Amino acid sequence: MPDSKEYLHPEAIRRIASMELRARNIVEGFLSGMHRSPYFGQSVEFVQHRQYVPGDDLRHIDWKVWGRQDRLYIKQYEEDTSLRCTLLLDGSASMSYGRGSLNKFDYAATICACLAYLTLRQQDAVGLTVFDQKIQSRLPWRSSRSHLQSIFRSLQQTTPKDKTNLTKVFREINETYPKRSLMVIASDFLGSEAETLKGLSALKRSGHDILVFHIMDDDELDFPFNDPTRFEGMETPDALTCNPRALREGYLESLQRFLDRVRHACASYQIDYQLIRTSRHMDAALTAYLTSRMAHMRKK
Amino acid sequence: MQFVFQPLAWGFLLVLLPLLIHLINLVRQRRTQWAAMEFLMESYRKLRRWVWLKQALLIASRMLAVAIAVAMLAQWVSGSRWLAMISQSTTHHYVILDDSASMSDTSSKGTAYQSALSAVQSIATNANTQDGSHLLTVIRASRASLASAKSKGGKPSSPDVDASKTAIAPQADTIAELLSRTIPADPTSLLSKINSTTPSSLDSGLGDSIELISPLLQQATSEKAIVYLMSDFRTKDWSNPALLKQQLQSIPNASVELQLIDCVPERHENLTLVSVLPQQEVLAAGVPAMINIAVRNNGIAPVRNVTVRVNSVDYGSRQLEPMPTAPFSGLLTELPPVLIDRIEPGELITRHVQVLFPKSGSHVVEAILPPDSLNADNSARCILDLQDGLRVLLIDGDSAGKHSFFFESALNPGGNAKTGLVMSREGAEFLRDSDLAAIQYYACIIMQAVPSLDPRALENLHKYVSQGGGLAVFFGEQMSMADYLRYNLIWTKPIAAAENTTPLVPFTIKGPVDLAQVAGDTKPDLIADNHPIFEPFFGLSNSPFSRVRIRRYLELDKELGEAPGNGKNIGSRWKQVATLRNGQPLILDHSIGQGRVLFGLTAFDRQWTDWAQDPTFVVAALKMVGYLSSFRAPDAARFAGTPMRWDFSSQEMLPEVQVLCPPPSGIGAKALLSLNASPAGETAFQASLNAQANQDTDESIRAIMSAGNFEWWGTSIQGERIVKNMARNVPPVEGETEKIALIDLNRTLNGVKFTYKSSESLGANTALAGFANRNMLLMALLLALLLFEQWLAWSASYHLPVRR
Repeated sequence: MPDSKEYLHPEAIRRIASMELRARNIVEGFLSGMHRSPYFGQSVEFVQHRQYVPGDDLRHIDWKVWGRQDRLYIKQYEEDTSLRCTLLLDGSASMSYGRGSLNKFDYAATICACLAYLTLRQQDAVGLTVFDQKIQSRLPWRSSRSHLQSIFRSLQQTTPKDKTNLTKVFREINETYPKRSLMVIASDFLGSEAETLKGLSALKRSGHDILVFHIMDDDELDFPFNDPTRFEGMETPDALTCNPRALREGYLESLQRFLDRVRHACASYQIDYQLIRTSRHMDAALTAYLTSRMAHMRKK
Repeated sequence: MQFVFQPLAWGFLLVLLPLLIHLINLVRQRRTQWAAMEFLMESYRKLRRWVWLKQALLIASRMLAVAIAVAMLAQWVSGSRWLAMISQSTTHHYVILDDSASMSDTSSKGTAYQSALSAVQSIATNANTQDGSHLLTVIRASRASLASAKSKGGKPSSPDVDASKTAIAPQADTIAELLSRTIPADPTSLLSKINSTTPSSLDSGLGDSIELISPLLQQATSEKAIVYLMSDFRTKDWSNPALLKQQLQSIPNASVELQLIDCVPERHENLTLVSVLPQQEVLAAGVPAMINIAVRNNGIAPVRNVTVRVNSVDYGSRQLEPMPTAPFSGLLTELPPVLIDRIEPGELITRHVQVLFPKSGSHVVEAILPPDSLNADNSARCILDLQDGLRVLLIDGDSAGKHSFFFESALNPGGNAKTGLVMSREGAEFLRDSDLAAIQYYACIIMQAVPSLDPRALENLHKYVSQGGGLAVFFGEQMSMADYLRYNLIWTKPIAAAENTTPLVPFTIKGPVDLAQVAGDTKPDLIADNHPIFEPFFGLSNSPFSRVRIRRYLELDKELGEAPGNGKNIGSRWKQVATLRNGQPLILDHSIGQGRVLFGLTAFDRQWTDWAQDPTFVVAALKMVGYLSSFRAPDAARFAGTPMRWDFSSQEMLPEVQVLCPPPSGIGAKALLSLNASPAGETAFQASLNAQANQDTDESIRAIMSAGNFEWWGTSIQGERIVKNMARNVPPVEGETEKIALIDLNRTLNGVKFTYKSSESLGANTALAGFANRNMLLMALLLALLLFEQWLAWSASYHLPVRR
């Protein structure tokens, strides 16, 4: 039997063109590798009875109680406390960078697809918003299996472009998703740092549980360039011809400070933060999601 | 800026390589779309100046490293004195340059002397690469030898080194080619004078030079001294090792390093023209003269088919003028060459060649060997100062001259037979009444049956012989015992007024004795010994004197009949020329001063001997005259460096004299020296060219040290040019190319600390030492620079950090 983790490797994922197949492979591979998972298995169990009120679904009436006591009670199950998960995918131009198997957008989109698949498999509701400096596309929460196809289609049709403006985007999202939900953000956060932090703050203030996947390419984290190179900005008109070796240390220091600030801000906002390298397996992202889901469910 | 390997200096263009690579790398840039531009720009803004500075320093350090590497390879020579300023040390290089004739030994890399000069150049060049300041003193051995001879009045070097120091030390100022000269960055100009010199023709040892620098070494105690003895280290130069060792030991050991530099890597084959000399016979114009040409094989292998070229140069014409551009101003005639089939190693072979000069004059005969490794000893020459006739004075005790009959008949037979002799017969009173000049008019004197001589006549005869005259004394039948006793009383005593204390007669006469006839004794009465007057009879299987009868002879006192050289009576050297059958001497050869006296202990009378009637007498008489007249012959051939002097009458010639000198080493143009003769007496002038005279001009010294034919040109009162030739040849000992082995050198110089190396290795070693010294500094600088470059590159993040 092949190692289930093989399905989570970016190189393996890259070979699968269909987003649906990608998600299924990843999630099924991921789940098959989890024995007695603490994150899953109790969601359809009976919780309590409550008295029937008009308008309730007749399919949920406990007829055995009615036969013994002649009263109508409704069986309440775990599924009634279903999760609303909102996937926020950064579709700005900077997400198109990547020299590895998957660029940042592909990686982030695949994570979103997997989370959507996993969420819907658990009969939770999932919505998707792709944004750059504005919202490019948006899908509302749905828990039907057919919704998955809409999500996959939306992900595959999106092309990264334009800058990032998280303040504006998150404000719109707050308006679009007024109910509390689990917000999963997949972005590189390369843009205005202040706007990013401000946007996260606003999102948190709306009562959402937030899980941040900070997607970064290996090149961005390691800066392995040696030869003289002309760097041209993907979201800015800046260009720089330099010896990358000479600037590496300063670059890495500057980047690390940025990452530390983002991580620190997330911690202060009680936002789950996960820095994801595009060269790593996706199980980290899925595990982080399930952990956040459990926490969200407990609060609920 | 100078380099030992100048062409490698083009390597400095490589300095531009790092800059070029940097520019090429900038051009070869890649283009990359980059998301995290903000952080990159932030890093750039922060590090821009520092990165640029490091980049510039890095390129500069790499360029400097390349420059240092090239400087190391090209062997940079710098005139900078800052190292010397630090060390404050002074090294004095004393170079004693053997420029004797053997140093013209040629190998594929030039002469040994050129190797020595190259070594001097190396020393001077590499001194600049070493720490401290450097002084250079160069002394040529020939100059030191001449100076030593001058300071000692021409006497040979004295073994008493200490006694000569004070007299020699001041001479270093004038003798040394270079004296305590600071070696500049470019020593070419400093060495130009010494580099223009050539080997002399002298046989000059190193001892005089060592004596010359020894006081300098003892005075300069604060400096480090290196004494280089640059020589060819022939065995002949070390014939007196004790003296040389003593001289070397006089050098203070503490601060002096002694290096023996061998300039000849190996022994070469060499033929030496040992001598070209006329035979001791009658030399006169129109009379054939025999010239002995002696050739020695100084190599280690036999030599076959040696052709000796012989030239005769006739100076008999009165229309001759000095010709500086021609080898000789006289008429040169090439004689048939002398062929020598084979010469064994070490063998000396003498061949004869006959020359004939019809007119009187100072003629030259020159012999030339084929070229070999040592050309200096391949030519030699002799001078034949020929007169129209050789005057012989016969002093006869008989006023009628009856005793001279046989000599007159033998020496001047008349008819077509031309002996070149002009006979004069006088009585004994002639010797008393004439002054010395009148007697010296004759080439030799033959005295017969003179019973007694006036003291003045005896004094004149003694002076005549002492100054090179030849005297033959024969006795007569009329002489009584009283006459012999008078001989014993007067002739055997030193002349009171004479400088030479050797008496004319080294023996006393007992009296006439009959030679006993022994029946059956086949030995001839006269037995010729090995003497030039019997030279024609050498090698005959039968004695030519078998018919000669000696009936009476004079018996000598045994006390004075000692063998020559026994140390008892060194002043009166004599040897036996002919012996009687009974072993008693018949003819004795006695030397006084420069002349000779032959004593015939018999009388040419029928009662004494019939030898005068034998044909052998004619031959012996002619040879005897030639022999006796040969000692007063002017310089036929001398060695180079021998003083030259021309005495002439002030009533016949003007004092202005020109000397046409041979070029040094036989190469180049002849020098024409003008001399003024100094008065020598009332009617004589004396022109001289020697080391003792104050003729220290470069030209005169060069002439003195040269070998060849010196044409002395004078002018008669009537305005005619008169030429007198003087030959100076390379001493044949210079042709002995055998080298002293290192083991012998160590044994000879036991107790003297020295290092022995070849001139080539010296150049290499000094070059290497200088190279190493300088390059050690450059290497250290290079290493430091490379370390700095690595640190700079590392600090500029030019090496990937370890991934965390």
